[in-house]
Amino acid sequence: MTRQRRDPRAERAAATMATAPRLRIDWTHRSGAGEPGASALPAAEIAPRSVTIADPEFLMFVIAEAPEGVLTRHDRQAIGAARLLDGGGAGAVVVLAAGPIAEAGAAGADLTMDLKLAGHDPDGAAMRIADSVRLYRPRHVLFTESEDGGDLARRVASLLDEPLFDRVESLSARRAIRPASAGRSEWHAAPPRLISIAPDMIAPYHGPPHAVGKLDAPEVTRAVPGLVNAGMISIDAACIPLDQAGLVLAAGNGVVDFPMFLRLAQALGATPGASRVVCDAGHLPRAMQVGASGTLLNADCYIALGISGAPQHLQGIGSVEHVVAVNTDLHAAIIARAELAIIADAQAVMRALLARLGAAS
Amino acid sequence: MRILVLLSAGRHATSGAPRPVAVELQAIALALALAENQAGSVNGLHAGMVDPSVADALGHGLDAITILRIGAGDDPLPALAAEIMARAPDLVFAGRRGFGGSDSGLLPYRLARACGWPIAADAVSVSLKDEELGVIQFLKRGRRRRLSLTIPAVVTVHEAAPPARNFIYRARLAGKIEEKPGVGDRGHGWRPRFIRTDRDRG
Repeated sequence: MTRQRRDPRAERAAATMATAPRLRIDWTHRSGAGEPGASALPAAEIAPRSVTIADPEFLMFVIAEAPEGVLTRHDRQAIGAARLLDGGGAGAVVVLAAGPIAEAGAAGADLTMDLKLAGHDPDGAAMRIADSVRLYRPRHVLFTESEDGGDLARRVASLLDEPLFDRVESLSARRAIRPASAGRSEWHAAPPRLISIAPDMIAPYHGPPHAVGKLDAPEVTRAVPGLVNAGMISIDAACIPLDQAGLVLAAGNGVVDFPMFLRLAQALGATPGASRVVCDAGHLPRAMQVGASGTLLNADCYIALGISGAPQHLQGIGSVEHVVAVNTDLHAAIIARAELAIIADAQAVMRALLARLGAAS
Repeated sequence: MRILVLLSAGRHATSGAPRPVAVELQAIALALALAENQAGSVNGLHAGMVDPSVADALGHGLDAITILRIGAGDDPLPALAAEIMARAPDLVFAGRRGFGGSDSGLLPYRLARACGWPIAADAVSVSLKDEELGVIQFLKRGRRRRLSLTIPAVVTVHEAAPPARNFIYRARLAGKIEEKPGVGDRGHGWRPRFIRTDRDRG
């Protein structure tokens, strides 16, 4: 077999993405152009085929919180935990949620059950789940150990009069481990029926997507007493401590108009943050500082306005799920960290966002 | 307004020395604040062996603690349920989770079910108005939920609730501990029938 000789000029021409307004060469071939052999496979063969469990030997229930029908990170971890217990594809994972949920198959679910719950009704939800457990007799029922998920798990456990193996940190088909005795010892057991999964301890499912079917929820048999009334309290996002905030809007050296920045944070419902430079200059209080010497965030989304992304600042946003960066410099470190980058002046973007939000309201 | 606070035997995370469970001390502070508004009383309740960690709760604002003596491995639910039904308090407070035992946080829920009362979880603030209990519940991301329940009810308290009252050694000494045997739930053993005599036949 003779190898073809390289043609450096042709390779360079293939990697050239643009010549105007300036030359751009992409040697990583991420855009699909370049090596002719790379895209030879038809698209259908590249797309992962979906897994179908036609005749499951047993069922496993995962109780998902899924606010507005979208699985949370913790829900995905619970489904991943259920997939560990499926005995090599013998069992089917049923995801139970208050309403219909999207993208359950990609997360590893085989069936979904719509409990048809409205509003916050933990007693009604627990009774509905306990009824479906009695009806379908799943081998395992997995909950998320969050505030609402843990509450629901304990309500269901008390209704079924069964023990709950809570805050499971390690799980395999043979063994589940949970901490006990003030964290000084741990309990090992074969995975019992009712399990709740500690956050960020068990990896979500990353395999090929599963085909999703539907399972009927049992009929409501009786009304339940309990809570008279429930409603969320509206809290000003600016009052939420930075380490607990879900959406953070942060200002860096590229921001000049700080009153406009704070107005934008209020309009977005975001908690305002700042980089070290801004706090040092005294434009915003020290309590707002994000980074190694400020607050380490746990937010779902972080919007960085005019922040270049010093290593100490990137440490502060290490566990943030999604980062949006606005910066004039294409080569700033924050652009590499961000999933969505806008190469523009922060003032212009802030004005545009405020105009858009003002138009919406 | 009579409030009972459930106390559990706590342990220090590193040394394992007996110490009260921090979130239960916060529950005591929350109960005391509510009872002072309503001119009520707050007492502690523990089922299990006599434990120094439970007695230390007296120094954090409780006047009296009732200890229901049951065996080390016994389920505390029957003893607690029997005592609570006998005393008929308006509210039962508990920490969201113990610290030193099984730490599952399941007991308040089983107790609420045994008593047939509603339960509110993770309270950071409570208020009472016309027999209706308002509870502010802790949620992640700085969110809070307002719940409202009828009393009697069980309320579990979250770590984000206001801090516990300071320990006062004099109050610890002056506090009363009442000990009594609790209802135990053990396996039923075989016992012989008595032998009937002519006198029993009457």
